[in-house]
Amino acid sequence: MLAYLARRLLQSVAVTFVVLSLVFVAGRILGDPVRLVVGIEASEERVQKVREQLNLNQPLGQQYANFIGDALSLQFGTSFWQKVPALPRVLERIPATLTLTAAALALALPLGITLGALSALRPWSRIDRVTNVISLGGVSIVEFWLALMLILIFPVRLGWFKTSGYGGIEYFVLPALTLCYKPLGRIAQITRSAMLDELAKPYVKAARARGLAERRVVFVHALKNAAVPVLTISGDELAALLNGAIIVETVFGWPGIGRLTIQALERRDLPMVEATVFVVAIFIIVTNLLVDMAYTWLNPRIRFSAAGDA
Amino acid sequence: MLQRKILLIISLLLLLLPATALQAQDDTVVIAVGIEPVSMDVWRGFAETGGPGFLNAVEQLVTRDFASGEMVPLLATAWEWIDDRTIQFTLREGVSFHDGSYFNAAAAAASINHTFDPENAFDLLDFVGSMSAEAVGDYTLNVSTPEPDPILLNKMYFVPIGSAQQLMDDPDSYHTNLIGTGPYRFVEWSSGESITYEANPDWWGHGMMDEAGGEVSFQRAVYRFLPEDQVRTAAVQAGEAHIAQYITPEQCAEVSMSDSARCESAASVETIFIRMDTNSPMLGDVRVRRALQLGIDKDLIIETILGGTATATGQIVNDTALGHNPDIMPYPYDPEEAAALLEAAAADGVPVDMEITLGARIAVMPGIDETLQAIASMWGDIGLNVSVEFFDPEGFGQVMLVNIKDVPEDRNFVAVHLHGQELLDYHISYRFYFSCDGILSVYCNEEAEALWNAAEPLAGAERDATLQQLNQVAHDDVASGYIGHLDFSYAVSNALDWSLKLDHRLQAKEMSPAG
Repeated sequence: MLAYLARRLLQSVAVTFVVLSLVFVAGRILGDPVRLVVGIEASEERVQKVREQLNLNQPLGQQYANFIGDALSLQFGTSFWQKVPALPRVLERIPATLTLTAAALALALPLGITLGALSALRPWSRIDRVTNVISLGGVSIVEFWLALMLILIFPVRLGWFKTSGYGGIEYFVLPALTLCYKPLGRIAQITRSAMLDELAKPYVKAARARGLAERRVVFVHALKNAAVPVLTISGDELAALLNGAIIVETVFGWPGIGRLTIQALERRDLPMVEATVFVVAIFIIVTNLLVDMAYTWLNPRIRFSAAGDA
Repeated sequence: MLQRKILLIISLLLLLLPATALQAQDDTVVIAVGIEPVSMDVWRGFAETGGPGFLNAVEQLVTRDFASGEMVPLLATAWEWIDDRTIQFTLREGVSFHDGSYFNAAAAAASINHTFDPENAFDLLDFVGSMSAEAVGDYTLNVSTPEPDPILLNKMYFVPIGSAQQLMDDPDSYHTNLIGTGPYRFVEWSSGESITYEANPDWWGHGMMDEAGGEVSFQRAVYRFLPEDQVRTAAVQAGEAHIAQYITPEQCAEVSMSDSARCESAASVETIFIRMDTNSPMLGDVRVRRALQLGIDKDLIIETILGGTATATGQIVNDTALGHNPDIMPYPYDPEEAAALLEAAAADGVPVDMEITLGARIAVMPGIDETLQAIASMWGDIGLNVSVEFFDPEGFGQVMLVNIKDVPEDRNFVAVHLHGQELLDYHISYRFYFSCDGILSVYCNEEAEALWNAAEPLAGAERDATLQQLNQVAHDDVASGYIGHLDFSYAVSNALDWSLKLDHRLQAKEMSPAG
């Protein structure tokens, strides 16, 4: 297990390095970031002045060497636009995004599993059809549209919750609901499918034949075995929630990392983009490691080999 | 049991949420703006979009009275030209900055020189050109330009004054802490969320409403950043904000039906114009350029696509600007005449069948997609071959930021774009978009160039007359096409007394609770 984790960590470092290198190169060769910083009507003299100030006049190789050196010491430079160190600015946005994504997953996971399990227990029943509609809506719906509809219905028409902003429960409900709907749909679908597979297996029939209570058969035996694919999709969903957070944070004016990413990309703020990518990469790597470790808890037959096969 | 556990988990999560909500209170005015500033640099106060609410905290030497069009005192009480490059300002006494330091000529000079220091390379240097300041007495300040500049006084409207003490003691804080002399003190910039100002009890303007241009009616002013116009509008409808900046015509109509809010619109200095590559074999012919203008039904576009929030025009500046020519009318919609002009040009060998690339920057204004498609369709109706292309900001910069000398003759590119003439002077618009060496100019006309050069050292009525003449020459030669001057709209809560001005600034000193 420890050897496996060490190997995964080394892989993660390599992946982070490659991702950061790609972002570095793309940010500098796809157009001129200085022109975006100074605006369309700036004189060439000023463009050159700003290029020097941002150290973008150095050869690309030199810039890359400086970038890697700085990144190793967790320095991503000063934001082109905000004139503040980039990494601390990214880190101060993390709690808002984590709060939102954790709440969305905390809503989506139990609701999705419950709906999926109930649906699998009574295939083609009314509850199964309702679950299918809900889950299909979840995977199909455009978050931007859903967010605007929720805003128009609840705060504007009914006076419930807040349209936007960051703060207590009244600010939090609509963005969390918007963000949770897509993963809820996917988790419900995967749970239903996995549960149908498990419920058809001989050990379930044997458990029932031994006279175990149906609740115990379903929720202890079948659901625990069905949880492995659900856990896999949940890990993916947690990463996907960061994508969804970009839209949800922008619509609801939620000051998280997703909105910062959009602003940094729009303004070609290279230090901020690089710091954001670094933080998101670390988040996804840690999530994947936790999911891997959770496999062994759910199914003790799963073991990690040094070669990395689970 | 499971349900109880779920509820318990959700409840615990909700308890962990931060409780820093911004609550709209009676003593607080809340304004929803579209764009978050990138820093709190004092100079960014020159524009509301880049410095939302900055003029609450920082003030200029002079400001503009939009009723009379005249420049009027603010931190300066009087001024006089002492030569053709220098204005001598007499400054207001008894004014202090929010950090406790005194406002005087030395402080004002330090702030202005910092703003226009080429080493700092701030945007304002490009926008208004170079200037420098010198304290010649405790409250006497000379502001000079390298070359004679008849509109220097107008330019001072765009130059906010910040604390010299801050620049000396803590220069790094210049980017994060806005320190000025204004009616509201900067309190906090919550990144991604809002800027908060609070009333300044030591403001020089208390009890001097006319001279100070307003009064302090709220204890706090909060500028919230909401990028989506629909959400800004909803925030006003739900009573969470008093003003929503820049809303669409549809949202304006929706708000107008409400009992709790209204829509306010005003003409802006932004003009929707059509820039043509006049060096191409096709667009180099003035008959073709005129045909293009006659082939656009501007009124239809304004009414149906822009929801009536623009005024059709035939020139790049509106009637508040020096050089606006009241005799210039928009080219009418006349597709028959347009087709005849194209036929005549074709008969003379002009390649009117060349493909025109009609382009614009994505989201440059509400309805740009439909506007471009409508123009392409109208031009198709008069026999032109048009393709439409949208660009991201950087791609658009690459096709726009080019002088006529560097444009390939076969490019045949036509751009629909916005130009804002905040300095209210046609001479500057001409420099960028029409002069032979203009960095955004794909046009060159020797007769017009001579008039433009002649206008440069002139001031007052003489300058106005020469610029009007220049404007007419450019119009007759169809140097550019136009759709209209754009109006900007705001959703305003009926709980607020506020009247929109032509500068579209959102200053809390001009707002008060209704009734």
